[in-house]
Amino acid sequence: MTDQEIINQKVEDVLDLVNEEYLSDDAENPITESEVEDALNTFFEHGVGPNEVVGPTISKLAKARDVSKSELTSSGGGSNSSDGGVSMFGDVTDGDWGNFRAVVVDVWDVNEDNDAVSQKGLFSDGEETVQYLAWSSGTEDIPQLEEGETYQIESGVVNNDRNGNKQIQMNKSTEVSVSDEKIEADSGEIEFSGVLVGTRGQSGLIMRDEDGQPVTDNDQRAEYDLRLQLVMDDGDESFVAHFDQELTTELTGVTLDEAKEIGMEAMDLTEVVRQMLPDLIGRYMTVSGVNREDYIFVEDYEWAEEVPDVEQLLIRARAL
Amino acid sequence: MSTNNVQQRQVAQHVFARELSQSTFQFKESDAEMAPNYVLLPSGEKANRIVMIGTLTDTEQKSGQWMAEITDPTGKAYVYASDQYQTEIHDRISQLTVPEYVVVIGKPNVFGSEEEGGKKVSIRPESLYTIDEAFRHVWVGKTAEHTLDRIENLRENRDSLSGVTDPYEQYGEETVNSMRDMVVEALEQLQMDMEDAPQS
Repeated sequence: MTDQEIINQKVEDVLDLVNEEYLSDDAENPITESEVEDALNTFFEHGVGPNEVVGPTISKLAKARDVSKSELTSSGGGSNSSDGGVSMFGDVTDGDWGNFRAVVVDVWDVNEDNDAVSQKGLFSDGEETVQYLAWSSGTEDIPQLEEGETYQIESGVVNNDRNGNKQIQMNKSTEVSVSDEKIEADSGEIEFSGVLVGTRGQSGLIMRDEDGQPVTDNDQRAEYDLRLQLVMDDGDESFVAHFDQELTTELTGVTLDEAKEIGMEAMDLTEVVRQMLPDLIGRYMTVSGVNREDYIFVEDYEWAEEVPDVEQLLIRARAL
Repeated sequence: MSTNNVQQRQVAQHVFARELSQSTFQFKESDAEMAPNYVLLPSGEKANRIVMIGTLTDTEQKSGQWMAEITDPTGKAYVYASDQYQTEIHDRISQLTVPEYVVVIGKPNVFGSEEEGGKKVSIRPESLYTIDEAFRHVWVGKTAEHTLDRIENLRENRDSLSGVTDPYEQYGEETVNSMRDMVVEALEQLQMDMEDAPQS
């Protein structure tokens, strides 16, 4: 099949799944073939194969209209709450309750000072990766979740954290058990090489609250942390590589204490990242870690400063 | 990969100075006011953001802006940082000494007209830092690689291009074909530089 034939087939596949009310001329923002094709091409250009592309495309179309995936594809009025069966993360939104089956992609450290939260990490339902959080109160029966294990979560609550990231919260009403049906998440691990072109969000010396979220106001509970969120770009894609405190110190040679001194002397926390960037921007790096949306939570990195094989490139260029 | 509908960050294209100077055709993909501006690269591909490494060969202050001239193996590129909008970079350029190796990431900006002596392309910087000599060799190699990828891709897909995506239409056969020569020149220069450079 030619590329265009594949695209045409996928456009058909997507349109077949969409509820007719979104296709009719009377719709507020009818879905057109060209919109579907553009969406498909965006995913193809980002390395998503034909077998994986329909789901994300439906998701994109749904989000553009501010409806859930199941509303877009349902044949009725659209429901998204659980009926005893399992819901996909893409079908639920802030405020919903649901039953889920998910594999643990990553277990995160819980801030020791924070008694309210007992567990945190990342879930994947096979299609989408979201954060999870278990409140300490009343959840003694919830097992310590392990990376790589698949669990059935009954009566979990969907919540958006302050950054708008979807989160599954487990509380005293939630039941969690190991699931017989395992999910093959590719654990979201990726490797990416690119040039460091900038930062996104807060980097360097930051103040954060117990959930690890940056705060800008004078919150008494806030504490200092060191992190880097470096935008990496290879000309085709860009990711934000997130380095935690340990990796930031390894990368820059600056410890948290040294950073605090720099920040206090300049009376400006941002002085720290300003001192770090000149040695980072424009350099080439390979990172590996857990991918979620356009973030990579870096586990390992190395400088990628070998000059490409000039002889090979010359042969290639001269052949053109 | 990212599937959210938040405006995705535009990737930074590796371009040689000569190619950038010839990327005078500007366009937008949609009529929406906030839709990104692109220039069409003669080697194919559109660029909203570029990354370039070279030698800082001149700086000059002109009415509220600092200009930085960056020279790479293929030619010169010009960065303009305004006091008002790119304050940090404006101040940094004023303190740089020439020569010095620098990296710049920014947006191509087309100005001028046929009547005024031809269109020119400058860089509106988002980041500009000094960089070690060794890294520019990596950049030249990578940029040659990326440019060759674009040229090969262009030749393969020539028939399906038209209008804003077709550099043959916008720039002519001669300019498009000269991109390959530019890459050869840059690589030959790189080869010589690396032979001369002390082993590190």
